[in-house]
Amino acid sequence: MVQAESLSSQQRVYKRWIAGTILLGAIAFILFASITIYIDPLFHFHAPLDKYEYLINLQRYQNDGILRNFEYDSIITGTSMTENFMTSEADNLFQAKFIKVPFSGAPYKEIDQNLRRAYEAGKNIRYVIRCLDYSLLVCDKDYWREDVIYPLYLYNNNLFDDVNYVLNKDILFHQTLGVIEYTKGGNSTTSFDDYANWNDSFIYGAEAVLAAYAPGEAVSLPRVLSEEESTMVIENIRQNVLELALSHPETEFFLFFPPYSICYWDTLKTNGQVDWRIDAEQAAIEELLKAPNIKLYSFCNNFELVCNLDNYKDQAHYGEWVNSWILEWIKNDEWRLTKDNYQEYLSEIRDFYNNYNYSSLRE
Amino acid sequence: MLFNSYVFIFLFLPIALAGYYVFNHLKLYRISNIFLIGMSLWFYGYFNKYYLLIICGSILLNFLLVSGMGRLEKKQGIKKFLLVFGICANIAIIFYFKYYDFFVSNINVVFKSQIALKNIVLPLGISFFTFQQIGYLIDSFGGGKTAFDEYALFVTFFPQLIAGPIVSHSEMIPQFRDMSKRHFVPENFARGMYVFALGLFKKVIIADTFGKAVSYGFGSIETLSSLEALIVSFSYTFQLYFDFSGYCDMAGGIGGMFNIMLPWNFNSPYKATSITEFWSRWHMSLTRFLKTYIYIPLGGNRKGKFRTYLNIMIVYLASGIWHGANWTFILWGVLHGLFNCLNRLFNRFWERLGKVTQWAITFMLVNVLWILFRSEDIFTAKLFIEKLFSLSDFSISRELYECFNLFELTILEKIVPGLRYLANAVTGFNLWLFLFGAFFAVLNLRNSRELEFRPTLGRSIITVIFMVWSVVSFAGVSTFLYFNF
Repeated sequence: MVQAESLSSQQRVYKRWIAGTILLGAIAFILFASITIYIDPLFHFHAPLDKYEYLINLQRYQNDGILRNFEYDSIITGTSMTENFMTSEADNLFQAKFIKVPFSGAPYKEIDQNLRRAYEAGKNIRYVIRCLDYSLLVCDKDYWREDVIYPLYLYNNNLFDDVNYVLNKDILFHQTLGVIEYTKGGNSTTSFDDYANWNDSFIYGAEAVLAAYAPGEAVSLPRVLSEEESTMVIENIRQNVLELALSHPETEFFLFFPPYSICYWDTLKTNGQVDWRIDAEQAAIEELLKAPNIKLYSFCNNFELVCNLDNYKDQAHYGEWVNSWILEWIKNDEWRLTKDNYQEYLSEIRDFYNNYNYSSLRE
Repeated sequence: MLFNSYVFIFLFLPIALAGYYVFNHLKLYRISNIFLIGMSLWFYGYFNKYYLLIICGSILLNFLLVSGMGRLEKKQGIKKFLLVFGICANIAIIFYFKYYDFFVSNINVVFKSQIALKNIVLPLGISFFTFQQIGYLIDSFGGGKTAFDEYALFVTFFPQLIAGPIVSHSEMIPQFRDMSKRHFVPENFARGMYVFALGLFKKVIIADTFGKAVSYGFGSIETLSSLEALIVSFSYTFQLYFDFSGYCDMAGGIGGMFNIMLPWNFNSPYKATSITEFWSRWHMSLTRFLKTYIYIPLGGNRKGKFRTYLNIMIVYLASGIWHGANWTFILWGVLHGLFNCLNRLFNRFWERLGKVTQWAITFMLVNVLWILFRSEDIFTAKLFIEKLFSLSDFSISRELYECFNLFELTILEKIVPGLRYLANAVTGFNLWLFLFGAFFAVLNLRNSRELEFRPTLGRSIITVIFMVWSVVSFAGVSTFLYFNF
């Protein structure tokens, strides 16, 4: 009898230990998670708190939160070609409140999916300024960069997998506590002018551009866009650009082909891809002009810009003053492609880039 | 599903435990078996549902074969045929999934042919559950009846499904049948929680930190100094130790929460003072399997010296092949076999050596042979070993030091005065802390089986710290290459 009693009292001790340990663990987990939920450095649950200042520098981690939880009515998005845009300029020109959400090197689908998240969050969007990179035009409509490990848990509405965010020591130590430290350091929340802006980190000009690429010597036979590739472009544009624009007539989409430098065209020429590239652009233009709320721009026939390497840090990337010009041109409807002028534009660039004296670049 | 994942800890394990005890409380014992099989299949098929077809097919085939053998008590010839067929079928399955591409690529090299590889994705744990079932087939030759649900549970029981231990039916099925184990036993459960947290900590915090140094080292062999090669080789030796030991603890801990004792699989192997002793402490359930089903049937040590040595070599060759489809594993197995034979051959001489010498030689041998285990091919292993023994450069790069700089450690080093002094005074303090700490732990601490567990506040706090620290380390933040357009 005594033995049975002591056994059961021993069992009670173990049971208490189990309950106590689980409770202690639960409290520790809840405390750990609440700090990140409260400060929310990735804006997953809410917009920035007034009492803290936030460093915005993690595109794939923060853009979704920005799109869903910030106050705005217009968006600048695209690849690194949009990173140097200054939203303050866009705000003034368009009398709007812009955010900038660039996705470095993102294929069309990635940008489209992220734009859709903004609409799903119930945002009323007046303007979207978005670049359409040539380099990602002839791609499968579902192409997604495999080298980018995406924090998918931030991009769905599944509350359970947010555990990856709130019980994550890297987030807590570097991001959440980083916000407190950043605030204490007297800093201000990163402006969208500065966010992802790399203008001051590079040297511009012919020397820098020519050092960053090796112009090829051997010239391949010119090729044209195949039927299959043309379908690929059309599907890419339809699924990842056109569909969203058509389903949101209330938004005006300013889309532009970014003006890569003459050196980019040199590479195309060397590879026999000038006509191939322009064919792809033609297929895209013809699709894009179908939507009444899309205004399409290309600056490839602004030869003064493209041929002046002082505007560039490498074959493709231009300095922030070019982004400023682009905003102004869009606002003033300059360099716009319409059903009436696009054929003329295509023959102009076809003629120019096929016949340009590229060897002068190497002299 | 991995033990070290949010879904396992916060969803799967609580459901599995609650369901198991609720059904048993209602005396629905068979339902509780079926529930646990269902959960185990969810666990197994979490990453790839096609794996379920393989494991279910394998279970069904082996169960039918055993049932068939059970009904043919007097027809020994057919029984033998079924047994041989069963063993061959299991080996064929494992050969196809694990060794087909290796075999074909070797054929291609030897005969300069171009037979296409199949690039088969290896189903998780196939080596474990296939071996378990081969053992069961052989043991069932003499008779024995097992219900299908018991058999399926024996094979799929999730704590041991993916990485062992390789359990035998005679130690599992009696436990499933023991009704006293169907009730919640607080002592076992509490101890299980503690051991699980300990295992998780070993895996996530210790092994994975060593893993960073190993990835760095094996990713840049060409530029390693001799000292770095030594540190990287030790790091891999410890990574494997804490990874496997951690896994065994987690498996054992979960088993404990279900009142199921899994066999001992890991007994402080780096305390061994000979290669033979190492193998009686490392992956013990594999050693037991190979001994029972290969070494002894071949005659063990009863057929003269030559046969004994031959049998040892065969067992270690099989062990090497079992570990992976690559010549590195085969060579690793053969060398372990060779050192086992030498140990046996020169036993008298070996015994005359001091314990420290015996330990040092054994540890270094194991350490160097692990290089083969980690290398992608024999050429890489050779290059690494050359770096290690070139004794040409004793510098340590910043990158290697940084592999050990856990952020939480650096915070502690800012706060705790003594640590702060050491961290400032000793270059790469964290690296040495991990390395010497690991040496101390593997040589001095008792393994989890020997630990006495008392339900104290201290143990509770340690359990929570290990658990929370590990869980919050599961997900990281990946860095992207900006401007890499």
